[in-house]
Amino acid sequence: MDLIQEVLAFSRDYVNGNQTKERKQKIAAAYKNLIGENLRIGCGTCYVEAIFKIKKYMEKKPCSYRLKPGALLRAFGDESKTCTNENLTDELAIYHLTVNPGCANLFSIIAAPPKELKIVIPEVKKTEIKATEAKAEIISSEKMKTKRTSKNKK
Amino acid sequence: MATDCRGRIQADLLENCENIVAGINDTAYLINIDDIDKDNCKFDPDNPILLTQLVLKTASPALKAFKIEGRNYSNEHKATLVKKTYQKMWDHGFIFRIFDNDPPTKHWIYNSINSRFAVIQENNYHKLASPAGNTVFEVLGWDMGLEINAAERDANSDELMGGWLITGGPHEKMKESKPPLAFYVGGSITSTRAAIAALL
Repeated sequence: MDLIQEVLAFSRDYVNGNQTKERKQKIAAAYKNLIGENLRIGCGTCYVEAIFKIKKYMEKKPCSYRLKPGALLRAFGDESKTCTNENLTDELAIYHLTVNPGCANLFSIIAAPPKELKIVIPEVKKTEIKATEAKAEIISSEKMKTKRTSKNKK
Repeated sequence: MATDCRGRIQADLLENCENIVAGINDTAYLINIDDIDKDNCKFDPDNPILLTQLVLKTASPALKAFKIEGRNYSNEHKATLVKKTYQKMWDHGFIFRIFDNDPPTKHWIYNSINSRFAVIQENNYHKLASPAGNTVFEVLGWDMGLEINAAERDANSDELMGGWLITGGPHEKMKESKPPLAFYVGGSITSTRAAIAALL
Protein backbone atom coordinates (compact mmCIF):
# COMPACT_ATOMS: atom_id res chain seq x y z
CA MET A 1 0.00 0.00 0.00
CA ASP A 2 1.16 3.53 -0.73
CA LEU A 3 2.57 5.28 2.36
CA ILE A 4 0.05 8.12 2.16
CA GLN A 5 -2.87 5.74 1.76
CA GLU A 6 -1.58 3.76 4.71
CA VAL A 7 -1.46 6.90 6.87
CA LEU A 8 -4.99 7.81 5.82
CA ALA A 9 -6.13 4.26 6.63
CA PHE A 10 -4.93 4.36 10.23
CA SER A 11 -5.58 8.08 10.78
CA ARG A 12 -8.85 7.63 12.68
CA ASP A 13 -7.34 4.96 14.91
CA TYR A 14 -4.29 7.17 15.53
CA VAL A 15 -6.39 10.17 16.54
CA ASN A 16 -8.38 7.92 18.90
CA GLY A 17 -5.21 7.09 20.83
CA ASN A 18 -3.35 4.20 19.18
CA GLN A 19 -0.16 6.22 18.67
CA THR A 20 2.82 3.93 18.15
CA LYS A 21 6.34 4.99 17.25
CA GLU A 22 6.11 3.24 13.85
CA ARG A 23 2.96 5.15 12.96
CA LYS A 24 4.60 8.42 13.93
CA GLN A 25 7.52 7.66 11.62
CA LYS A 26 5.12 6.84 8.78
CA ILE A 27 3.20 10.09 9.31
CA ALA A 28 6.45 12.08 9.24
CA ALA A 29 7.62 10.31 6.07
CA ALA A 30 4.26 10.79 4.32
CA TYR A 31 4.24 14.47 5.32
CA LYS A 32 7.75 14.97 3.94
CA ASN A 33 6.81 13.22 0.66
CA LEU A 34 3.63 15.18 0.17
CA ILE A 35 4.33 18.66 1.52
CA GLY A 36 8.11 18.71 1.01
CA GLU A 37 8.94 19.90 4.53
CA ASN A 38 10.20 18.13 7.59
CA LEU A 39 7.46 17.58 10.13
CA ARG A 40 7.90 19.44 13.39
CA ILE A 41 7.68 16.91 16.16
CA GLY A 42 8.12 19.14 19.20
CA CYS A 43 4.49 19.85 19.98
CA GLY A 44 1.85 17.55 21.43
CA THR A 45 -0.53 17.74 18.48
CA CYS A 46 2.02 17.88 15.65
CA TYR A 47 1.24 14.40 14.28
CA VAL A 48 -2.53 14.89 14.43
CA GLU A 49 -2.22 18.24 12.68
CA ALA A 50 -0.04 16.57 10.04
CA ILE A 51 -2.73 13.93 9.45
CA PHE A 52 -5.35 16.63 8.89
CA LYS A 53 -3.03 18.46 6.54
CA ILE A 54 -2.39 15.28 4.54
CA LYS A 55 -6.13 14.57 4.40
CA LYS A 56 -6.93 18.07 3.22
CA TYR A 57 -4.19 17.91 0.61
CA MET A 58 -5.44 14.59 -0.74
CA GLU A 59 -9.05 15.77 -0.89
CA LYS A 60 -8.14 18.77 -3.02
CA LYS A 61 -9.34 18.54 -6.61
CA PRO A 62 -6.64 18.52 -9.27
CA CYS A 63 -6.31 21.99 -10.76
CA SER A 64 -5.01 22.89 -14.23
CA TYR A 65 -4.13 26.42 -13.17
CA ARG A 66 -1.37 27.62 -10.90
CA LEU A 67 -0.85 31.07 -9.39
CA LYS A 68 2.52 32.69 -8.84
CA PRO A 69 3.79 32.32 -5.27
CA GLY A 70 2.23 35.03 -3.11
CA ALA A 71 -0.61 35.88 -5.48
CA LEU A 72 -4.07 36.35 -4.00
CA LEU A 73 -7.20 36.79 -6.12
CA ARG A 74 -10.28 38.55 -4.79
CA ALA A 75 -13.73 39.31 -6.12
CA PHE A 76 -15.41 42.51 -5.07
CA GLY A 77 -18.03 41.80 -2.44
CA ASP A 78 -17.69 38.02 -2.51
CA GLU A 79 -15.35 36.52 0.08
CA SER A 80 -15.97 32.99 -1.21
CA LYS A 81 -14.10 33.81 -4.41
CA THR A 82 -10.89 34.80 -2.60
CA CYS A 83 -8.20 32.29 -3.44
CA THR A 84 -4.50 31.53 -3.36
CA ASN A 85 -2.74 28.41 -4.65
CA GLU A 86 -3.93 26.68 -1.49
CA ASN A 87 -7.61 26.67 -2.51
CA LEU A 88 -7.49 27.40 -6.25
CA THR A 89 -9.81 25.30 -8.40
CA ASP A 90 -10.47 25.30 -12.14
CA GLU A 91 -13.84 26.99 -11.55
CA LEU A 92 -12.31 29.80 -9.47
CA ALA A 93 -9.50 30.33 -11.97
CA ILE A 94 -11.93 30.57 -14.89
CA TYR A 95 -14.18 32.89 -12.89
CA HIS A 96 -11.33 35.31 -12.11
CA LEU A 97 -9.93 35.19 -15.63
CA THR A 98 -13.37 35.93 -17.05
CA VAL A 99 -14.23 38.76 -14.66
CA ASN A 100 -10.75 40.28 -14.65
CA PRO A 101 -8.60 39.17 -17.60
CA GLY A 102 -5.80 41.41 -16.27
CA CYS A 103 -5.16 38.95 -13.47
CA ALA A 104 -3.63 36.56 -16.02
CA ASN A 105 -0.30 38.16 -15.01
CA LEU A 106 -0.63 36.48 -11.65
CA PHE A 107 -0.86 32.97 -13.07
CA SER A 108 2.22 30.86 -13.66
CA ILE A 109 0.28 28.05 -15.38
CA ILE A 110 -2.88 28.62 -17.40
CA ALA A 111 -4.57 25.60 -18.93
CA ALA A 112 -5.84 26.10 -22.50
CA PRO A 113 -8.50 28.75 -21.92
CA PRO A 114 -12.08 28.08 -23.03
CA LYS A 115 -12.99 29.84 -26.29
CA GLU A 116 -15.31 32.38 -24.69
CA LEU A 117 -12.45 33.62 -22.48
CA LYS A 118 -10.58 36.50 -24.09
CA ILE A 119 -7.47 36.47 -21.96
CA VAL A 120 -3.94 37.38 -22.84
CA ILE A 121 -1.50 34.77 -21.59
CA PRO A 122 1.35 36.72 -19.96
CA GLU A 123 4.34 35.13 -21.70
CA VAL A 124 4.05 37.20 -24.87
CA LYS A 125 7.16 38.06 -26.83
CA LYS A 126 8.13 41.72 -27.03
CA THR A 127 7.73 41.81 -30.80
CA GLU A 128 4.19 40.50 -30.46
CA ILE A 129 3.37 43.19 -27.93
CA LYS A 130 4.64 45.84 -30.31
CA ALA A 131 2.52 44.37 -33.10
CA THR A 132 -0.64 44.48 -30.98
CA GLU A 133 0.08 48.05 -29.91
CA ALA A 134 0.53 49.07 -33.53
CA LYS A 135 -2.72 47.35 -34.41
CA ALA A 136 -4.50 49.19 -31.63
CA GLU A 137 -3.25 52.50 -33.00
CA ILE A 138 -4.43 51.67 -36.53
CA ILE A 139 -7.85 50.69 -35.23
CA SER A 140 -8.14 53.90 -33.25
CA SER A 141 -7.11 56.06 -36.23
CA GLU A 142 -9.64 54.26 -38.44
CA LYS A 143 -12.30 54.93 -35.87
CA MET A 144 -11.31 58.58 -35.90
CA LYS A 145 -11.64 58.63 -39.70
CA THR A 146 -15.09 57.06 -39.57
CA LYS A 147 -16.13 59.58 -36.93
CA ARG A 148 -14.90 62.45 -39.08
CA THR A 149 -16.64 61.14 -42.22
CA SER A 150 -19.88 60.68 -40.33
CA LYS A 151 -19.62 64.26 -39.06
CA ASN A 152 -18.94 65.58 -42.59
CA LYS A 153 -21.96 63.73 -43.95
CA LYS A 154 -24.12 65.41 -41.34
CA MET B 1 -2.74 61.52 0.02
CA ALA B 2 -0.59 62.17 -3.04
CA THR B 3 3.18 62.36 -2.76
CA ASP B 4 4.49 65.87 -3.19
CA CYS B 5 7.81 66.13 -5.05
CA ARG B 6 8.61 69.37 -3.23
CA GLY B 7 8.29 67.52 0.04
CA ARG B 8 5.58 69.68 1.53
CA ILE B 9 3.58 68.48 4.53
CA GLN B 10 0.11 67.65 3.32
CA ALA B 11 -1.92 66.24 6.16
CA ASP B 12 -2.51 66.39 9.88
CA LEU B 13 -1.00 63.81 12.15
CA LEU B 14 -3.38 63.25 15.03
CA GLU B 15 -2.83 61.55 18.34
CA ASN B 16 -3.05 57.77 18.35
CA CYS B 17 -5.43 56.73 21.10
CA GLU B 18 -4.00 53.21 21.24
CA ASN B 19 -0.74 52.40 22.99
CA ILE B 20 1.82 51.36 20.42
CA VAL B 21 3.38 47.95 21.05
CA ALA B 22 7.12 47.42 20.68
CA GLY B 23 8.96 44.57 19.04
CA ILE B 24 8.62 42.16 16.18
CA ASN B 25 7.47 38.58 16.03
CA ASP B 26 9.88 35.64 16.24
CA THR B 27 8.89 34.47 12.77
CA ALA B 28 10.13 36.38 9.74
CA TYR B 29 10.29 35.51 6.06
CA LEU B 30 13.29 36.01 3.78
CA ILE B 31 12.89 36.25 0.00
CA ASN B 32 15.81 36.35 -2.43
CA ILE B 33 15.52 39.78 -3.99
CA ASP B 34 15.93 38.45 -7.55
CA ASP B 35 12.99 36.09 -7.07
CA ILE B 36 10.47 38.91 -6.60
CA ASP B 37 8.41 39.62 -9.69
CA LYS B 38 8.45 43.40 -9.26
CA ASP B 39 6.61 43.96 -12.56
CA ASN B 40 3.53 42.33 -11.08
CA CYS B 41 3.77 43.67 -7.54
CA LYS B 42 1.39 46.51 -6.70
CA PHE B 43 1.39 49.51 -4.42
CA ASP B 44 -1.54 51.45 -3.10
CA PRO B 45 -2.23 54.22 -5.64
CA ASP B 46 -2.38 56.86 -2.88
CA ASN B 47 0.44 55.61 -0.72
CA PRO B 48 3.79 54.51 -2.18
CA ILE B 49 4.79 52.97 1.15
CA LEU B 50 1.88 50.52 1.16
CA LEU B 51 2.61 47.32 -0.77
CA THR B 52 -0.62 45.56 -1.68
CA GLN B 53 0.64 42.66 -3.77
CA LEU B 54 3.89 40.72 -3.68
CA VAL B 55 4.38 37.83 -6.09
CA LEU B 56 7.41 35.78 -7.01
CA LYS B 57 8.62 34.96 -10.49
CA THR B 58 7.69 31.77 -12.26
CA ALA B 59 10.50 29.23 -12.24
CA SER B 60 11.02 25.53 -11.96
CA PRO B 61 11.36 24.40 -9.21
CA ALA B 62 8.93 27.00 -7.84
CA LEU B 63 10.46 29.94 -5.99
CA LYS B 64 9.47 30.53 -2.41
CA ALA B 65 10.03 32.57 0.71
CA PHE B 66 12.03 31.09 3.56
CA LYS B 67 10.89 31.20 7.13
CA ILE B 68 13.23 31.89 10.02
CA GLU B 69 12.17 31.45 13.59
CA GLY B 70 13.76 32.98 16.62
CA ARG B 71 12.81 32.57 20.22
CA ASN B 72 11.38 34.81 22.90
CA TYR B 73 11.54 38.05 20.83
CA SER B 74 15.07 37.41 19.62
CA ASN B 75 14.57 39.20 16.28
CA GLU B 76 15.33 42.91 16.12
CA HIS B 77 14.63 45.61 13.60
CA LYS B 78 15.69 49.21 13.24
CA ALA B 79 15.03 51.74 10.48
CA THR B 80 17.07 54.93 10.33
CA LEU B 81 17.10 57.96 8.07
CA VAL B 82 20.51 58.57 6.46
CA LYS B 83 21.38 62.01 5.15
CA LYS B 84 23.35 61.96 1.90
CA THR B 85 24.67 65.00 0.06
CA TYR B 86 21.52 65.69 -1.93
CA GLN B 87 19.09 62.99 -1.01
CA LYS B 88 17.83 61.27 2.11
CA MET B 89 17.98 57.48 2.21
CA TRP B 90 16.87 54.78 4.65
CA ASP B 91 18.89 52.22 6.51
CA HIS B 92 16.91 49.00 7.18
CA GLY B 93 18.42 46.80 9.84
CA PHE B 94 17.34 43.29 10.70
CA ILE B 95 19.08 41.24 13.37
CA PHE B 96 18.19 37.64 14.05
CA ARG B 97 19.57 34.93 16.26
CA ILE B 98 19.94 31.27 15.45
CA PHE B 99 19.89 28.99 18.45
CA ASP B 100 21.73 26.13 16.85
CA ASN B 101 25.10 25.20 15.43
CA ASP B 102 24.47 22.00 13.51
CA PRO B 103 25.88 21.42 10.00
CA PRO B 104 22.68 22.50 8.16
CA THR B 105 22.68 25.78 10.16
CA LYS B 106 26.32 26.46 9.29
CA HIS B 107 25.65 25.56 5.67
CA TRP B 108 22.69 27.96 5.64
CA ILE B 109 24.85 30.78 6.99
CA TYR B 110 27.69 29.99 4.58
CA ASN B 111 25.28 30.06 1.63
CA SER B 112 23.41 33.15 2.75
CA ILE B 113 26.31 35.52 3.35
CA ASN B 114 26.50 36.42 -0.34
CA SER B 115 22.76 36.67 -0.89
CA ARG B 116 20.56 39.74 -1.07
CA PHE B 117 17.11 39.34 0.35
CA ALA B 118 13.94 41.17 1.31
CA VAL B 119 12.46 40.50 4.72
CA ILE B 120 8.79 40.29 5.66
CA GLN B 121 8.52 40.91 9.38
CA GLU B 122 5.50 40.88 11.64
CA ASN B 123 5.15 43.71 14.12
CA ASN B 124 3.65 43.04 17.50
CA TYR B 125 1.67 46.25 17.04
CA HIS B 126 -1.71 45.38 15.61
CA LYS B 127 -3.64 48.61 15.28
CA LEU B 128 -7.36 48.05 15.50
CA ALA B 129 -8.41 51.24 13.77
CA SER B 130 -9.90 50.71 10.34
CA PRO B 131 -8.58 48.93 8.38
CA ALA B 132 -7.51 46.64 11.20
CA GLY B 133 -4.12 45.02 10.86
CA ASN B 134 -2.41 47.24 8.30
CA THR B 135 0.37 47.93 10.80
CA VAL B 136 1.26 44.25 11.21
CA PHE B 137 3.48 43.24 8.29
CA GLU B 138 6.40 45.20 6.89
CA VAL B 139 8.80 44.56 4.03
CA LEU B 140 12.45 45.53 4.40
CA GLY B 141 14.99 45.88 1.63
CA TRP B 142 12.56 46.35 -1.24
CA ASP B 143 14.91 48.27 -3.54
CA MET B 144 18.16 46.35 -3.32
CA GLY B 145 17.65 43.79 -0.61
CA LEU B 146 19.50 43.41 2.63
CA GLU B 147 22.71 41.47 2.98
CA ILE B 148 24.33 39.75 5.90
CA ASN B 149 26.86 42.23 7.21
CA ALA B 150 27.93 40.28 10.28
CA ALA B 151 27.69 36.73 11.54
CA GLU B 152 29.09 36.02 14.94
CA ARG B 153 29.25 33.02 17.22
CA ASP B 154 30.65 33.26 20.69
CA ALA B 155 30.77 29.73 22.06
CA ASN B 156 30.78 30.99 25.64
CA SER B 157 28.10 33.60 25.16
CA ASP B 158 25.79 33.92 28.10
CA GLU B 159 23.05 35.20 25.81
CA LEU B 160 23.13 32.81 22.87
CA MET B 161 24.81 29.82 24.51
CA GLY B 162 26.89 29.21 21.43
CA GLY B 163 24.27 30.16 18.87
CA TRP B 164 24.69 32.61 16.00
CA LEU B 165 24.02 36.33 15.89
CA ILE B 166 23.29 37.42 12.30
CA THR B 167 23.14 41.10 11.37
CA GLY B 168 21.35 41.96 8.14
CA GLY B 169 21.49 45.43 6.67
CA PRO B 170 21.80 47.42 3.45
CA HIS B 171 24.87 48.04 1.30
CA GLU B 172 27.59 50.14 2.87
CA LYS B 173 26.91 53.15 0.62
CA MET B 174 23.70 52.50 -1.28
CA LYS B 175 20.69 52.60 1.00
CA GLU B 176 16.98 52.08 0.50
CA SER B 177 14.93 54.87 -1.03
CA LYS B 178 11.92 54.37 1.26
CA PRO B 179 11.29 53.42 4.88
CA PRO B 180 10.13 49.81 5.44
CA LEU B 181 7.02 49.18 3.36
CA ALA B 182 3.72 48.32 4.97
CA PHE B 183 2.42 45.05 3.52
CA TYR B 184 -1.33 44.66 3.40
CA VAL B 185 -2.98 42.43 0.82
CA GLY B 186 -6.63 42.31 -0.15
CA GLY B 187 -7.85 44.81 2.42
CA SER B 188 -7.70 42.48 5.42
CA ILE B 189 -5.17 40.88 7.72
CA THR B 190 -6.63 37.44 6.89
CA SER B 191 -5.92 37.94 3.19
CA THR B 192 -2.43 39.19 4.02
CA ARG B 193 -1.70 36.08 6.04
CA ALA B 194 -3.09 33.90 3.24
CA ALA B 195 -0.84 35.69 0.72
CA ILE B 196 2.20 35.10 2.96
CA ALA B 197 1.24 31.44 3.34
CA ALA B 198 1.10 31.25 -0.46
CA LEU B 199 4.72 32.44 -0.60
CA LEU B 200 5.97 29.51 1.45
